[in-house]
Amino acid sequence: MFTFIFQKMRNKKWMVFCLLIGNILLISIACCNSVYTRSVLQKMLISDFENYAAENNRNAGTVYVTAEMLSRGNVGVNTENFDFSESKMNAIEEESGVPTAVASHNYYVDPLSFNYDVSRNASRETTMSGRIGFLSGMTEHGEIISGEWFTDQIDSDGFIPCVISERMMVRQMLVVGDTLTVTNKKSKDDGLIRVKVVGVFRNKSDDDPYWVDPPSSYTKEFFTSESIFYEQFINPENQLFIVKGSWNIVLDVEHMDIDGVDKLYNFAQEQPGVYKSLRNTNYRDCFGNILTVFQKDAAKVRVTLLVLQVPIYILLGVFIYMVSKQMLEMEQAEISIMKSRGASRGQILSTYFMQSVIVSIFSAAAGIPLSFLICQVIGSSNEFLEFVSRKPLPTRMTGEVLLFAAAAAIFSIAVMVLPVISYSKVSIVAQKQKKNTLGAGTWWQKIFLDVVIFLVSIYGYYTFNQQKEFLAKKVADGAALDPLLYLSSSLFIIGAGMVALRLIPLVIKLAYLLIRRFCSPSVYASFLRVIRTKNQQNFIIVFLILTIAMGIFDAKAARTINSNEEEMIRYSTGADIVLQEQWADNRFAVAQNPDLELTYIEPDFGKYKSMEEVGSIAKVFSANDAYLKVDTSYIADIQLMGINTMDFGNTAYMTPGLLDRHWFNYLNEMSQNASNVLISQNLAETFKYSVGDSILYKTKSGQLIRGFVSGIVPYFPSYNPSTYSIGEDGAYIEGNNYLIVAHLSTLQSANGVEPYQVWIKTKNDSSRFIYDFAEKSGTLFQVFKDTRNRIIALKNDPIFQGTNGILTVGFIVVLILCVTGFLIFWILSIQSRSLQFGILRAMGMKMREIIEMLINEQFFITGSSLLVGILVGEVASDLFIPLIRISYAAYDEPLPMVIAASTSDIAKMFLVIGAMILISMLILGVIISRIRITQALKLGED
Amino acid sequence: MNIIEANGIKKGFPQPDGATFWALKGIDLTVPQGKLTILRGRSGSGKTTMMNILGALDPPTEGRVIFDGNDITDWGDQQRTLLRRKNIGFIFQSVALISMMNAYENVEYALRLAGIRGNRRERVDECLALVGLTGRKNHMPSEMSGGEQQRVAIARAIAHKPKILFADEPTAELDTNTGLMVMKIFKDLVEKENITVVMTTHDVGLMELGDVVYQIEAGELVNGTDGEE
Repeated sequence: MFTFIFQKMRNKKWMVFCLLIGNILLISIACCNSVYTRSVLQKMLISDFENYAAENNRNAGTVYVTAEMLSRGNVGVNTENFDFSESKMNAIEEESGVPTAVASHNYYVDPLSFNYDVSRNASRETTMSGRIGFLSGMTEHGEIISGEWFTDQIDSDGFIPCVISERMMVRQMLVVGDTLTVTNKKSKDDGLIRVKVVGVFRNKSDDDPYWVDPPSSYTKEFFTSESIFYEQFINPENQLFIVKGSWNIVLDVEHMDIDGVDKLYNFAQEQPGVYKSLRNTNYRDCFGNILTVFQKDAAKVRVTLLVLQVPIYILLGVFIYMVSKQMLEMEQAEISIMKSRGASRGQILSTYFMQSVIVSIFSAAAGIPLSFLICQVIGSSNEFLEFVSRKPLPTRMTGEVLLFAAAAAIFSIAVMVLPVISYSKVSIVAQKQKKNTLGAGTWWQKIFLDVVIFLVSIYGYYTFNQQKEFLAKKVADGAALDPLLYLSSSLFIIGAGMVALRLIPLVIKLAYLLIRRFCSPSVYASFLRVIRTKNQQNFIIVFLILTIAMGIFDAKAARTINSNEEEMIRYSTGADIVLQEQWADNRFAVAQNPDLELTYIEPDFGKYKSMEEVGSIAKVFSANDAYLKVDTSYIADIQLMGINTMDFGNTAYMTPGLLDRHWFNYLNEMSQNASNVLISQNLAETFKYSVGDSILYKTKSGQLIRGFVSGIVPYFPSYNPSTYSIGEDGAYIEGNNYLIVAHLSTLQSANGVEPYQVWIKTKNDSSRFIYDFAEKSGTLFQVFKDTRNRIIALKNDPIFQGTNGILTVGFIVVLILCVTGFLIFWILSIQSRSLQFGILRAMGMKMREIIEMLINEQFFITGSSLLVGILVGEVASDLFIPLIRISYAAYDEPLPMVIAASTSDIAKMFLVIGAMILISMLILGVIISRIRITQALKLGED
Repeated sequence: MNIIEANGIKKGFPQPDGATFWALKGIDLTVPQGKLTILRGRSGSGKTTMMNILGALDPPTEGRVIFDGNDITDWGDQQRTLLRRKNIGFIFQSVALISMMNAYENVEYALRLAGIRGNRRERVDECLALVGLTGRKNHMPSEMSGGEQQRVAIARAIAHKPKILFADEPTAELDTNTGLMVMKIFKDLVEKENITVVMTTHDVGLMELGDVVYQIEAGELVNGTDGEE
C-alpha cells in the first residue's frame, strides 16, 4: 500500500508540495506558540524577580522565618517551634522546587541590657540594650576590618568573644577590646554574662545574597560563635532565656525554570497557613506577591497569544482543506476505479489516512525546528514588520511542544481526511454524472453557511460594541483579549469573503452582458470561463479575499495598537523628558512658626538650558489641587498648569488632530494678555464658560487670581480629561478632570516661585545625557518621566511584543499561503485546460491571445478578489480594531483612538502580491509555452 | 486543382535516448480542391501527424507543404495561426468543444476568432441547421451526446467558411449510425458548400466514401488510391 501511496503522491507532486507547506506552517505555528509563550513567560518571570530586587534591594527569592522559644532546660521547654522551622527550612528545596542560593540561621537572646565596662568619655551613655546571637556562615560571607573573628571558646576571663558591624561600632561607640556586662540576666552558672568586642566585620561583597539584612542593619547585635551560643544559652538548667531564631533562605528564583512556577506559587500560598498554627512563628517571603501578579499576567499572555493565532489556524485549515479537496477532485477517477475493483470504503479511507499521516510526519520534522526560528522572529519584532536584534529568547524543546505539534497534526489529518468520506461514496457512474454538472455552487452556499457566519460576526460586533465599557473594565481588572471578540473579527472576514463570492459573479455577469457583443475573443472566453466554472475559482477567490483582508486587518491592528499606545505615552508625558528636582524649602521652620511664609529655593534652571543635547526647554507649573471659584463656592481638585507660551509651544508634544486648529493658535491667543487662560472643554461645558469670560482661580495655598478665557481646549499636552477612581464595589468610576492653563509669570507674581517641572525636548533621539548628569551630580528627581524609556518599556512588554510578533508572523504566513494558493490554482487550471488551449490554438487563436485570455481571467479573479479583500479588510479594521485595542489600552487613557495605517505596510503587501503575480505569470508562461498544440490535442484523446 | 501539395514529408520526434523516431518517412501527396480526401491507417501509422502537418498545426521536419499556392513550410507560428483562423477548420476525434460554451456560443466563437463582425447569428443558425442541431443550440456540451457534440464541432469548424476542413478520426468514438450521419454531413459539405474535406480514419468501411484515399502504414504511403479509379 505504501508504494501505491508514494506513487500517488509523486504524481501529484504540486499538490503534495502545497499540502506540505500548509502543514509545516500549521505545525510550526502551533509549536511556536508553545515555545514562544514559554520563553516569553520565562523572561517575564525573571525580570519580575530582578525588578523586585532592584527596587527593594532584596533578592526576590528571600524566605524569612522567625520563631521564639523559652529556653530553659529543667522546665522541659518545648522546642517544637524551632524544630519545625528548622526542618521546614531543610526541606524547602524539595517543597518549593527551587534550589537555595543561600541559607543561614540566626539565634539570639533578647532583650539584654548592657553596661559598658569602661567609659571612654563623658558624653557616652553607659548602658545600651542589645542582643547576643550567632549568624551561621557569617565568617565566610563577612570580613574583619578590625580585630579578628570570635573563637569557639569563652576566654579565660569569662568574656564571650563577639564581633560587631561597622555601623554598630560607630553608633554605639565601641571599639575592639571593649567589654560589656549584661545587667538584666545571669549566666547559666548564675554568674555575669560578659561580652568582649574582638572584631568589627562587614560584608565581603555588596551583591552577596547571603546578607538578606545588610550588616549595617545590625546595630545592636553582638555575634559570637554558634557553639558558644548553644553552650551558654540553649536550655540551661537554671536560667530562662527568650531565644529568638530566624532562618533566612534565599531561593535561587532568578535562575528558576518557568515550569517550576506553579509549584513555587502553591508553596508560597500554603506557607503562611502552615506556620499559623504555631505560636510565635512567622513566615514571610518576597516572591509570593510577585507570583500572584505573575500568574495573572501569565494567563493574560497565554490567552492573548493563543487568541491572536486563531485566524492563522483558520486560514491554514481552510488552505489545507481546499488543497486536499482539490487533490481529491483530481483523483476522483482513481477512487472510482478503486471502488469498482472492489476496494471498500474503509480501504480508501485508510489509504488517504496513511497519506495524511505521511504528510504530517514530514511536516512535523520540518515544522518543529522551524517553530524555533519563528520564535526568534517574533522575539525580535519591534513593531509590525519591523525587527531589532534583541537577546535571543531562551527557547527550549519541551513535551508541550510535541503536544502542540501532535494536536496540530491531528487537526490537519482530520481536515485532510474528512472530505474523503464524501468522495469515497461516489461510484464511477455518479462521478461521470457529477462531472457533467457545472458551477452548481458549493455546499456552503447551498446551506447559506456564508450568510450565517457573516450574520453571527455582525451580531458579535454589536454585542461587543455595546459592552465596550464593560470590556474596558474587565481589561482594567486584568482580563486578556477576549477570544470571542477576536474570533468575531475573523468570522467577519471569512463571512464577508464568502458572501462576496456570491456577489462577484453577479458583477462580472453584468459586465459580460454589457460588453459581450463587442469584446475580443480572448476577453469573451475569459468572461465565460469566469462565469461558468465557479467551483474551481471559488477556491482561489475565497482564499485571496481571506488572505488580503486578514493581511490588512493584521497590519492595521498592529499599527493601531502600537501607534496609539506610543502616542498615548507621548501625549500624557507631554515632552521628551519631564523632571522636577527636589526643591529645598523652609517647611520645618513654618511648622514651628506659622507666621512664616513657605518659601522655596529654586534649583539652578540654567544648567539644563545649557546642556548641549537639550533642544528646547520650558518651565511648567503643574498642580492637581487648585481651586476654581464659581459664585461663592470653590471647586476643588482643578488641574492648573502654568506655562510660558513660547517655551511651552517649542517644547511640549501635542498629538496632531486633537484640536480644531493647530494648538499654537491657542497659545498665541493666550499670549496676548498676561491674564489670559485656556480652560478645558469639560470645564467650559460644566460651568458655562465661553471665550472672553473671566474666571477666578487659585493654587491650593495661593491667592485668588482673575483670568480671562482666551480659548477652550478638549486636550492639552499631558492633560487627561477624565479622572478615574475605584468605587466601593471595586469598579472604576469616571469623573471629569478640569484644566486651567495660566501664564507661569502670572502665577509666580501672585504666589512667588513654587516648584515647577522642567520639560525638555531633546535634540537627538537619546535621553542618555540626563541620566549621566543625574549620576554625576547626584541629583535626585522628585518627578522624572522619560518618554523614550517608556516607549522602549512598552515595546519590551511581552504582550505587545507577542502581539507584534504574531501579527507579523501571521502576515508572513498569509503571504506564503497567498503565493502558494495562487500558484497551485493557476498551475492546476492550466494543466487541466491544455486540451482547451489546443482547440483554441487549432481554431486559429494566437499565443498572444491565449495569454491575453489568461491575463483577463487573472484580472477578473485576482483583481476582484483583491478589491473585495481590501474592502473587507478595511471594514473589518474599522469595526473591530477599536474593540480589540481596548485590550491593550490602559483604562485611563485620555486620547480618542485613531486607526492607524502605514501606507508602507499596504505597499509592502501589494509589492509582495505583485511580485507573486509576476512570478506565477512567468511560471505559467513557461508552462504554456511548453504546451504544443498537437500534444495538447493528443492529451485530449485519452 | 489541388489545394495542398505535400512533397517528401518527414517528421521526427526526439526520443529520450537521443535517437529520433520517424513518424513520417517521406510522404508525397496532394489534396484536390472540393473533394473528400481520406487518410487511412491503423493507429500509430502516422496519419494524424500527417494531417497536423497538412493543417498547418505542425511544421514538418523535412519536405515542403504548398497550401493554396503558398509554400507554408517555413511560416512562423503567427502566420500559420492566421492561416488556420481564416482558411482552415478542425474537427477532432475526441469531443473538442469549448466546455464552458453552449452549442451556439461554440459555433459563434469560431466567427469571433475569424474576426467576423456584424450579424453572426444568421451564420451560426445556418451552420447548426446544416448539422441538424437547431433545437439544441442552448445546450452545454456536457448535456449532449457524443454524436451531437461532434456535429456541433463540425458546425463550428465550417462556420467561418474555411477553404478546407480537417477531421481527425471524427467517427471513431461514435456508433456506426451516428458515424454514417457525420460522414453524410461531410459529403454534403463537399457537394453543397464546395468545401474541401480531409479526414483520417482507421475504419475500412468508410474508405469508399472518400473521393481520394491515401493509405498510410508506419509513416509511409502504400497503394495511394484515387477512389474514382
